[in-house]
Amino acid sequence: MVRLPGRSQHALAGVYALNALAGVEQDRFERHMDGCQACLEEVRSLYETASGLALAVAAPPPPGFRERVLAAVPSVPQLPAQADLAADQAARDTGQDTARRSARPRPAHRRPARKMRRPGLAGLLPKIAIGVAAVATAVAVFLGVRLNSVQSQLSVSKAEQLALTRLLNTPGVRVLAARTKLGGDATAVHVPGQTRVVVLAKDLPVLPGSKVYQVWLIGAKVKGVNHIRSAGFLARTAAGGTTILVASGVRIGDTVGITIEPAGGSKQPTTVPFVALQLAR
Amino acid sequence: MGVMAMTQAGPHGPSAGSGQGSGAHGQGASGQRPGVSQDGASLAAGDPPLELLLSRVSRGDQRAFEAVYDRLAGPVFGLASRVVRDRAQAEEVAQEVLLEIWRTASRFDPARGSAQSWALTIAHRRGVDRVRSAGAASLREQRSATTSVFPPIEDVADTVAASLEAERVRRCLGALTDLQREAITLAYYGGYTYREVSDRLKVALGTVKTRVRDGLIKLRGCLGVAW
Repeated sequence: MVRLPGRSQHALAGVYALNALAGVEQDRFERHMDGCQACLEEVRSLYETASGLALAVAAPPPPGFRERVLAAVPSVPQLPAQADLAADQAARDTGQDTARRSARPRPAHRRPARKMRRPGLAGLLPKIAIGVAAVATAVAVFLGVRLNSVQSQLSVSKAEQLALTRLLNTPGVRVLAARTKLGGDATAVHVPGQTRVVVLAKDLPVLPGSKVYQVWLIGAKVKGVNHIRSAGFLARTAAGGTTILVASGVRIGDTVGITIEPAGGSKQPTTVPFVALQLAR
Repeated sequence: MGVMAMTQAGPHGPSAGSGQGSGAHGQGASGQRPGVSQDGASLAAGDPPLELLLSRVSRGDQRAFEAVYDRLAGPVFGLASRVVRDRAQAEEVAQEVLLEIWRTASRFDPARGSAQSWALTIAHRRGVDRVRSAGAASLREQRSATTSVFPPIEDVADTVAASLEAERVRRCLGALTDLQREAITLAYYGGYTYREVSDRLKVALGTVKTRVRDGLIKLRGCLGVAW
């Protein structure tokens, strides 16, 4: 996607952090950041630096301002804390904007509108926001607790944990969770536009040695056909365990599905997935 | 110290909740922002960190929002005034920003940066959006006419006289090369795009790009933001 040499793009981190990029250049840099963790981290740290510049010009608002703002608060609807994750992206694209509109008479800024289309980068801090912050935190907590406590009986590698942590810290991250038809929960952590997805499952039934849980990336229907690729297997766990799979090769419009397959796996799923998580575009 | 204490404590959830972390946090904030405390803030040393307040706000806690207001209104309004250069518009922008903080508090993620940085980035972006919007063209012209290319350092200090924060920023800005400083202040306080900065300073785009980045990295080191 990004045609410019990485180095040249990377150097834009500074002006980006000062909101001094606009239009195409901004879009291009945001796309670049989608795949550049170093850029992302640099921009974040430079946002912190920039906020120091803001503190330096602090000035007391005029009299009556505090009262006005606080009086307006009850009429401004808040974005849900975590809400229905699956429905979240819809809310984000629509509800959010309408909420904004009702909150302020002079809204519809170009920038938010543009950002909506690319939640992947979503402007870090403000839009940072737009990630599923509370949920990401919840999942992180869940993992922190669960993974630590079950780590010994699990094959959750440091690399997998790191991949997950990174992903959760990426602006625009989406966390989809669903109860599966077999019981237990499946969660997909994904940043729209990125090719990586982390799939977590917990409390799935324990399978006999002759079976495995296989994870699939199910493409959007093209001419009535879903293109389905195997994303790998969920590691075996003891009852009540958590398992994690870091998969790549996600394409836009993919759905993550899990099936039970014969040990060794199948080329294509032999049963209907018992859980399906439609990744946000 | 203030920025450092806050930003360092900020991103890490657990420390935000601990008594000690929050103490240091509150203290840093209270001691160094007279602009804020004049506005009615009483930032006692035990005040909860912004991160914690935001999580309460995200659950609809209006009292918590008052505390957030008291911490952020000064910087938000000051920054908006600075960027927009028009008092009435700055008030509008500041109100929008504060309500946006209320509205989107649930989307703040401590893993991605401090609450202060999150909020002030919203403020900056709003200010910049306002000043770049079509209707702001004339305002822009006036601004160009009345703003010299490089007054910011003195200006900054005047705005919050005797503020340690401002002094620290001034000192750090002073340690940059002229070009780094001019490019950063034009972009941040002036709300100019880097192309505009390049035009105004009559230096190549690529030069602006690298000077801004180098300058910010130097500033980061100077301000003690260890991220």
